[in-house]
Amino acid sequence: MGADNYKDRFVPASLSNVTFDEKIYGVPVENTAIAVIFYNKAIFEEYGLEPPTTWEELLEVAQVLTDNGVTAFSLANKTKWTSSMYYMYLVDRIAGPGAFMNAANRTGGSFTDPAFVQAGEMIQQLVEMGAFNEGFNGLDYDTGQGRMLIYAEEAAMEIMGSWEIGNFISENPDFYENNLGVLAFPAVEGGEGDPSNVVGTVGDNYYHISSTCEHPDEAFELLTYLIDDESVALRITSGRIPPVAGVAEMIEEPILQQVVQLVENAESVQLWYDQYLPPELGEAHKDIMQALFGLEITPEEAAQMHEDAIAEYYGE
Amino acid sequence: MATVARQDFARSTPNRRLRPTETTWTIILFLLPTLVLLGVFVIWPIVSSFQLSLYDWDGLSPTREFIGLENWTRLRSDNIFWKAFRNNFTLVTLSLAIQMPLGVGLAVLLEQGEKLFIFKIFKTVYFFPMLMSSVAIGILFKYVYDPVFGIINPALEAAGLSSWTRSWLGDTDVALFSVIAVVCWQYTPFYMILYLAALRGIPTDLRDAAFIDGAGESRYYWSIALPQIQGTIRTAIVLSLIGSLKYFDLIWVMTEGGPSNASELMATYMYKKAFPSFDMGYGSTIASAMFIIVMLLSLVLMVLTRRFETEV
Repeated sequence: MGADNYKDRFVPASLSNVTFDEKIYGVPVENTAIAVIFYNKAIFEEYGLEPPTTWEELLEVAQVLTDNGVTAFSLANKTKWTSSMYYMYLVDRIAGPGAFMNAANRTGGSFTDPAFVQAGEMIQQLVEMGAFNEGFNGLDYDTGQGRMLIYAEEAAMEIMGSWEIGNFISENPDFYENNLGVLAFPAVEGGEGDPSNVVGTVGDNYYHISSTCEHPDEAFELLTYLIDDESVALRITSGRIPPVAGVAEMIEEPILQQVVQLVENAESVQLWYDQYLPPELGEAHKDIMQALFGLEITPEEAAQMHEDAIAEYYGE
Repeated sequence: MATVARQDFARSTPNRRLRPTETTWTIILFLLPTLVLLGVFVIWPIVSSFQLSLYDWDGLSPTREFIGLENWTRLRSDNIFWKAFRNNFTLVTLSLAIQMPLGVGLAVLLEQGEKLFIFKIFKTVYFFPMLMSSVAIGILFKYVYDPVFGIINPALEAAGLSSWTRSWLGDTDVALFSVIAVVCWQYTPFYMILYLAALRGIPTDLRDAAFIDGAGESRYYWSIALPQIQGTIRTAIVLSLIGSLKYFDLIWVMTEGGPSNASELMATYMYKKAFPSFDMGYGSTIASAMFIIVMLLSLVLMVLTRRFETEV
């Protein structure tokens, strides 16, 4: 990676996931993806709503929508990681990225810290006020059951990774061009987290070469084709953000441009919990999210279950 | 003719009578290919999953740690596994209670209506669900059950039964039953065909004799046909029991055992542990436990229903 300054091709943050002992072990090929709020501008206009910048405002918006029979947030949560985005953002806004990192890495934090409980409470408040579509725990994101609500204008907002832009472009270009708006996750009043922080990943789908490979140089050359200028251009037209330096200048689409701005201004990027944690804990986290949103467990129980799972995993 | 042929055969090998040991070896020789295949693809995997259940292994790394019966003690106190076990039982009970009578009923109906052309169409139509792949059925019914865009909720609302609407797959109280309904929809035709074939196999003179003795249609089915096909019914029950205990497909496609394990089955739980969670050792433990449970229950059922064993 060091040769010919090849690594300068990429956004530095995209290499942080594969850098150990100052050596780079992978080529980031796919998109930069962060979770944002997508919203339907026409619905907001119809009810005279302003895009919320704080959690209080978001609750008011949700209330107005709910009172008018519009689902505030579309959620397909059979898939489970979809709901985790709300939780990750709330924890980050309440206590900053350190809360999760310290709990997950066992560096003096705990999943029973007040931030995690408060995030759970705020989510359940949203659920109880009817801000989500009915039966969300049985809907499948992968078969588009969440987006159907958006397209049918049954729901006004969705929190989802920015890859959703590609889905919007290919499935409903009309909606994409006329009504789609993008928002950063709002600030939480009194929270310690910087409201510019984002949840997601800068660069993903890393490609690696096995150390037993007989032709490492040729293999590496092949990998460079996966992210050469041509494939970068194609990815941008399909609504994705390749993790290459200077990508902001290459993008003209206003929506993608907005997402790039959010990434560039971000104080920190929190990787998805279920990918940061070891697979077993990632699965446990997703199950806990589904139960939390389904109001089957209290926020305190959710926090305790996270803590028990990780404590058991590390044999504490 | 037959006797002549046999004499010729005997004459052609006058002093070549096979000794008992030779016959045994011949039999073994001819069975060998099957035994090898069975050993490699059936018996060895079962033995090996029992062996894996004694290890802590993620399924990928070259090393694995022997931990004795630790996985088994963990299984004993694993609430989710026992919940899955109970769910499997619900599935067994409802499958038997719905699919068996419905299968017999449809078979009788088709046999009765056979003279009419229109029923021949029904026979094919009734069999359709069996012909579709489970994944296609699962995705289809995911849309049927969709609370907003589906068929069921809007239909109930149109019929003025708004209070009956549910989020069929998203509600922990009904998700399991929603999927079981689809399982029955898919498998009833299979038993229908099985029973129809058995009903057809009853000699017509039995039927004629019954009518001469003054039995009506219902009397015929109840007193003559049902006892005649009891062997088939027994086979069907055993098949359904085993199938329900190791069931996986539709649950996986429609709910993945969710929400919050409400529709978890032993097989879906095994898959979740062995693969997405990279806990192959524990997954193998669940698989082994399933094997023991299915084996024991089928044996018990076979013994209990032994008196119904008749060749049809």
